[in-house]
Amino acid sequence: MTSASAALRISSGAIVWAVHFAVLYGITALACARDFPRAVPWTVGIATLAAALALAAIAAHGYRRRADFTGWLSAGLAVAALVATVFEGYAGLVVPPCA
Amino acid sequence: MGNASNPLPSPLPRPAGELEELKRLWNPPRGFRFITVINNNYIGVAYVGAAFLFFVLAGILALLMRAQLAVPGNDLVGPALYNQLFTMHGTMMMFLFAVPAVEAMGILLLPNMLGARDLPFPRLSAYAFWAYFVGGLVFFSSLFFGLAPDGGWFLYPPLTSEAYSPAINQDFWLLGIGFIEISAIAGAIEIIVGVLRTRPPGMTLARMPVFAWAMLVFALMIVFAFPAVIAATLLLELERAFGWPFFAAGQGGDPLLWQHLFWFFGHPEVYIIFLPAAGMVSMIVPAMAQTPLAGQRLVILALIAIGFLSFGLWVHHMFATGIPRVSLSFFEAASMAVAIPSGIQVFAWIATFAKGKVQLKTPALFVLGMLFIFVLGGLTGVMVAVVPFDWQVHDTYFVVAHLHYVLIGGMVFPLFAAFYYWMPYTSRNALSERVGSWVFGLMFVGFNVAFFPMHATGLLGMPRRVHTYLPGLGWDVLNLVSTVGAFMLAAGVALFIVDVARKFRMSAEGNAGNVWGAGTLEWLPNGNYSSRSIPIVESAYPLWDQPKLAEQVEAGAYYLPRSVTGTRDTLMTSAVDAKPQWVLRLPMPGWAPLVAAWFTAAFFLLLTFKLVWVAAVCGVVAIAALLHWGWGLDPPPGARVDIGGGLELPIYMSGPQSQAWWAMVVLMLVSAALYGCLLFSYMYLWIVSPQVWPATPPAAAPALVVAGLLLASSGAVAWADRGVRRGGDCRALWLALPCLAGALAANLWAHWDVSPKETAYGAIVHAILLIDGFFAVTAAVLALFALARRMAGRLDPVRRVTFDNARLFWHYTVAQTLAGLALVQLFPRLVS
Repeated sequence: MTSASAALRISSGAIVWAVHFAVLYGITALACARDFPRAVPWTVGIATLAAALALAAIAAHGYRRRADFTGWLSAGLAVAALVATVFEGYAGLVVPPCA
Repeated sequence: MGNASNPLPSPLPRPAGELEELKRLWNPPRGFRFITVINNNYIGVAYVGAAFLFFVLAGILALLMRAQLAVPGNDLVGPALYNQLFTMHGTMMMFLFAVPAVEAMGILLLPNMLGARDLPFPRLSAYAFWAYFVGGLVFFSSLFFGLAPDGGWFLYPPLTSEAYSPAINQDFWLLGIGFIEISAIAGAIEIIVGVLRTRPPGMTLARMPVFAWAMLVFALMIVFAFPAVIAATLLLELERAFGWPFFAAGQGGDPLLWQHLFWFFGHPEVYIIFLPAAGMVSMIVPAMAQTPLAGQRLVILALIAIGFLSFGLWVHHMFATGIPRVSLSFFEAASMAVAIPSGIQVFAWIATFAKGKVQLKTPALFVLGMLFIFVLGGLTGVMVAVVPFDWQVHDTYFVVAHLHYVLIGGMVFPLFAAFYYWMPYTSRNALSERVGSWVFGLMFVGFNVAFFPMHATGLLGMPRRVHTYLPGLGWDVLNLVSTVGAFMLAAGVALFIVDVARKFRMSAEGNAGNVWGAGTLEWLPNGNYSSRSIPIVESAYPLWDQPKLAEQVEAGAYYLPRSVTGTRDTLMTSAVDAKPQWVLRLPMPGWAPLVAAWFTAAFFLLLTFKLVWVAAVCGVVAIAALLHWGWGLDPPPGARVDIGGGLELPIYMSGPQSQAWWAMVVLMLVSAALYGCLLFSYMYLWIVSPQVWPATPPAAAPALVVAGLLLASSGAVAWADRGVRRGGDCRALWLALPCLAGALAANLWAHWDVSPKETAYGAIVHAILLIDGFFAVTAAVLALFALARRMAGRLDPVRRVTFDNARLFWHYTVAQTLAGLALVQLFPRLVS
């Protein structure tokens, strides 16, 4: 395996988590600054669902290749990212936006 | 290994003279030239020593503060000096002690732990050390002239803006710390390439020591986090020096932008110093318990998970700033999520102690102390991650207690464990066990006596950063107890210094050896050249699982038992599987890194005093020294060499397998993080102040000219690449240079009517242009360097690393400038 593909495999969960986090934070900041709170739960919900599906897919892909350490690691990190993503998304859904 | 069917790579006995030659090559320079030493053993020890010196100095500042607070209404220290004391204490502990100390431990330990002769860029380590040491000392001396920064270690504007801090105190922080960050980044590049490319054959990622994993994650975190504070310091210095209003609310700026950038660095910073310390603990615990680390793979997973999740926590330092609650909740959730991987590590250490037979020596005592203190700090961390609770204790002594429990528990106690544990590796004698238990006792009891009462002091309402308080508020006794504890802690540190003075005698070859019976490679018999031969590794604890390994390695039975190139050399292996690829010739000691470091420090510090011309001269000397240094690199290719076991490897490599390519890729990641912070600042300021954005978008024609010229310059570089492949001719670079210069000029022309001083919009646009200019000039210098080497006959189709560096950086610069141009040009069209 090349170094680049190993790096991508290991970091894919972290990348999805980071994009999800940036979307949540960015859209919320914008929606609240422009007085458009309705956008928040929708964005949070859709972004979290998409990220969770992507992370589950990465975890499954890595788990199938768990005999290889990089596969195991990518699965484990995707699960860690999934926990954090769902936790953050849930918080975004239950807290009133822009209060 | 070593049986008849699979013989060792190098036949024994080794010919006479091989070892002597290795020793001669790796000996440090003698006499006054000793200061040009670059070997990681020496630089590592000097680096650790310097960091410890700053720890002691910053600790003395803390004692002064505690003496002042011992009784109410004390007048030992006035408010102005007190402000400087707490600012310098925090700044020095974070920037001059914690990060350099763990980086130094990496430089000291990693090559031996990885069976390498040295890290791949030994001169870069020396440069990083000298820039940091000289800069740090000058920075500290600012206290004696009343010029030390006094705006808190986080230097929040508007308090630190020109209007409220007109003297140069804050500039000392901005410029002094700014370039120490450059030193940290240099060390990070060294560590990433070292960990990934200089491991011994067989040391796959799964078998890599946990400390090496921790240092890899640490270095990658520096790559992404430090550029944020560099961007922040750049913007604040531009505002202070030239009046560009990034943080001035009246002109569309926002002081909270500083807080975002600062904490985007500042929170990961906590983990940047904790992870290497956790990595050290994960090495010490198995040796103390004489059993492999429980759940080693999970611990590695936890290290990486903490590494990325810690980038989602920064706003928890800003819970009280009025950010929408839903935004706070994301950071609250992330703050709690990061406790899970942190907990995994703690449980792994406890489980390892439980399954092994523990030798309760001083390193183990410090680890146990760390577990107690850090877990308490983690628990109060989860408390302050809860927004309503944080609002109650924000800016009180509760937070002071929390952060010291986390940092001293998470970093200082592990570091002391590491000092005791690795002392026999670098010194003739181990430290005294008897004194060690006293050191531990004083530090552990002293720490808790000092900091535990602060939880109560904070809950009783005592704010942070006050130089005194009135009697009768319920804070008197608690403060006195804290002061007694602080001096007890200091007594422990003083006793440690006495023991080090008694016992520490640096020696690589005559070290005390593997006194703990540890299983990892740094405990192989070694010298200045690291281990005699480079072993084949079959497990995560090779000294435990390959019983004859130490003996065979010392006899020279493995790879590279001699210098195969007539100079210092080491084995380069593949990043994932550690398969041998080529032999890297390492540089010898020289003055260039020192001169470059000293004059880099002088450049930044003289700028603080607004001595622009003297600073410029120093800057030119530093660049000249860097170019001189670079000129001696990229040695001529030679014939393949036999490293043992029938393996014949090249001694020259260009392209993606070369160490230079890897370093350049990491540098591009640093650059992208820096530029990303500027683009974030642009978007952030627009969200906050859309009214200062132009109603009519900027003219399109000049931007198209800029884009065209940029692409043309990249085309010329690609053409030069073709020329180099066909015969070494890179003259097409002459064509690229005017295209890039033209693009710069056109870009400036396109925004000529936007003033950087009037609004935050103008300021951020010009900041982006400024960085574009800096990158373009750097790319041009690299291109001219390649052209000069071609003229000197040092560049041809094979020997082409300097050209590749210039090419990579050039294309990156073009891509980055285009990204900035797209944002600055297209975004106003989108929103107007």
